[in-house]
Amino acid sequence: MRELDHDNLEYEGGPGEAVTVKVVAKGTTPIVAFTLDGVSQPLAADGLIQFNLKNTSNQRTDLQLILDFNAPGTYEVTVLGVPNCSRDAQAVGSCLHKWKGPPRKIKTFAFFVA
Amino acid sequence: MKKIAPLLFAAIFTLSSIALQGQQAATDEAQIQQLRANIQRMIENAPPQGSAEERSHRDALASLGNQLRDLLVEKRGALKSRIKNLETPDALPEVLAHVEQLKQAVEGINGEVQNIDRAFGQNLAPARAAAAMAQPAIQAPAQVAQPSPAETAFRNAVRNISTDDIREAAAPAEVATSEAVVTCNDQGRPASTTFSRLDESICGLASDLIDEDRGMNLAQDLDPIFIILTAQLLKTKTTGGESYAAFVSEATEKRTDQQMGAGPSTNGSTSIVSKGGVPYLFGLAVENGAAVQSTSDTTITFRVNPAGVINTFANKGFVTGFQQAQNDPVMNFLRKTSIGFSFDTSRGNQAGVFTGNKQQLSAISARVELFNDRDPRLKKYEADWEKFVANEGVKLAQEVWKTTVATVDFGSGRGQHKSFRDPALQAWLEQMTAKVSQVDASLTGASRINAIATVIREQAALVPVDRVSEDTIQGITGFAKQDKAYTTAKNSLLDKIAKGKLFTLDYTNTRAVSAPDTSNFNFIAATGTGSRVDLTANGSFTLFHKRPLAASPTSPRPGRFRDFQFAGQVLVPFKVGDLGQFDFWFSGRYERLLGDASTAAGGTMPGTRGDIAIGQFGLNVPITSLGIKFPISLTFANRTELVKEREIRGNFGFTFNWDTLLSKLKPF
Repeated sequence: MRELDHDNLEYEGGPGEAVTVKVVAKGTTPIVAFTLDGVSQPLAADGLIQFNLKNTSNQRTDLQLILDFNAPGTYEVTVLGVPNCSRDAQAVGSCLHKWKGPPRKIKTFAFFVA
Repeated sequence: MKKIAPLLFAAIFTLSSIALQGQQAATDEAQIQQLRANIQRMIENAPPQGSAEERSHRDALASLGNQLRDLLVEKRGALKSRIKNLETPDALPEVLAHVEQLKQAVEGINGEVQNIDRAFGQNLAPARAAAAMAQPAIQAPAQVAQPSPAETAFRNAVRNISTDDIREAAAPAEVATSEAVVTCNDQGRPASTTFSRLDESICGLASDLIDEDRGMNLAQDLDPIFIILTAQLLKTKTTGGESYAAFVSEATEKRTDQQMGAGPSTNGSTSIVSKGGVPYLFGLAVENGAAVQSTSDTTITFRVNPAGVINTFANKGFVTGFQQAQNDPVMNFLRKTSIGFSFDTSRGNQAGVFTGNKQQLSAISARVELFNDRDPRLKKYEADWEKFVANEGVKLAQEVWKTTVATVDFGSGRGQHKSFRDPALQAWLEQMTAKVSQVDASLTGASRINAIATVIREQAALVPVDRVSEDTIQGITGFAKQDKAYTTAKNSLLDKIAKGKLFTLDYTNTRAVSAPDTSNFNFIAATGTGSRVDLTANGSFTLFHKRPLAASPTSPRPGRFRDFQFAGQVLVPFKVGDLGQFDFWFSGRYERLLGDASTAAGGTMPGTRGDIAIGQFGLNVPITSLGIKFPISLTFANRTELVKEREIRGNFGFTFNWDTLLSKLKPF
């Protein structure tokens, strides 16, 4: 997986590549639902969202997260296996996005096939 | 020949200039590379921390950083100039694709300049400077998809919509502008307890843009943008305006379980029932007497939460403190305790003036929460939240996705960022982004947040409602309906949690001037009902520290037990418009005096032993923005402790909850 644009939440990978996004809530109960290519579901207890990229070049997978709070806190959303993350100061090979709230956040990731 | 000579000269001059510019650019680029390499070597060969060379190393590094920054800024200027020249209304797709690549190069330079500012602008230590500088200077260019003719046409349409066009398409100012401007605090929260979802969203968005050091975009900022569109579009198009009260603030206001004033056994308390709950930091209450005794004094109570004080003095914020307290057993216990100090201002050398000295200290109290079910983060509510997400969360996610697809164009491929489908809305967004980027970068903290929030608020009032498509209006309406259903369901769950059980033990040591001191043990239970009514019950007894003297040589000397009491209160919270939450209550108390009552002078009043019944109606009037409440009550009693006559008395006071203020000033 490779970061295309950190601020616009855009990534790319190889055809059929496995993608793992980890969501961790701090200071709030996790109140998270997500929509993956149009299908909505609640976040699993382990906080992991896993899927495979499509198989044709330039095709995209869209992941939209709804992150809500019942107390002030932070969500840490990590796209795993991203060696080129522009904000990865510790060089751990993943891309971390931190969002504090309330208010609620809606974040829409795009994962392209290279 | 005469005519050709000037043309030839001009051509030679122009070509020479271009060649010189080209040489200059190449020289600059070489210098940039050289500086980067030198900085990298300096970072890799940094002296040990604290060594004598550290200063000169840091100065040299800063000098190189400044040189690099200057060159990068020049390069950025040149690139922007080229972009401006190329990005014309008749530009062909190939040119626009090239412009996109130039823009990416500008973004890369922006990132590198910011890295330099972070690394050298704050006198960072070499290790941190290295970490900051180690971030990639320019992102590797992605393969940018060529814009389609439709996309090019869309871009041209957006570019042709001026700020005046947007202004003309906006709703009239008297409709679009919100009634009262709510400022933001330095944490990106509204600096008021009364605010709308719009206020909350604008403050949050301004804060996010600063924290994340980025521009506004549709991948990250859909929630506040949808809220803005809901507020503006629906106000003008369908419902006539809808203000969504912020549920987090509502939840704080609903915490009616905190006793800020003195307990009922202290002179001057306006309440006849003690309530459970412990304030996070401390409360200051100044109250003017009730009909418990025949004397009426002014009592000032300070109630302190030790965990809150420890955290506050450790310079930690309101919520961080709470979270840490949950993980630490000692802090977790301290969080459930509070200590109160009551001062009777009628005492001492300067009667009527609060001096806070030992003479005026009339009571010391300690309170421990034995049981509190009113924190929404408790493990016991996890299943409720999971159910909420599975139902309302998923429904909202579906509707948000539908609205996103209806209003947002995802672009044809990599490098094509999301944009609104409506050209007017996209132009509105881009104009807002441009205005936000012009906010004075030297501002910091709340000033910067408020400067950006002001721009967003002004632009929010300019949503081009007359040029927005029906599809967009329908999409936003769908979002607003589901958002309201979601918020209502969430508030119901928070209401249910706010009615949880509370059981508290309160100890009060009352220090009389001449009479014997007493100890009062009060057990307080509270719960809510399905109809948002708060019920509180007290059971207490009071002991003398030493037996009082008899009223006369022939009278029996009172025993150690002074009294026992039972009390109950029904409290009904209700809201009046934007004024905040009022509380109406009715209380009753029965007290059995087991011996004759003691006077302040230390004597005993004969014939005062017996039963006392007290009833009270009251109303808490809030000033929400200041965290102040004015309790006004009417108390009626069959007698007082010292005088066996009926009494009716009106009371008033004010309570001041620092939690409210602190949470506004530093909520995270």
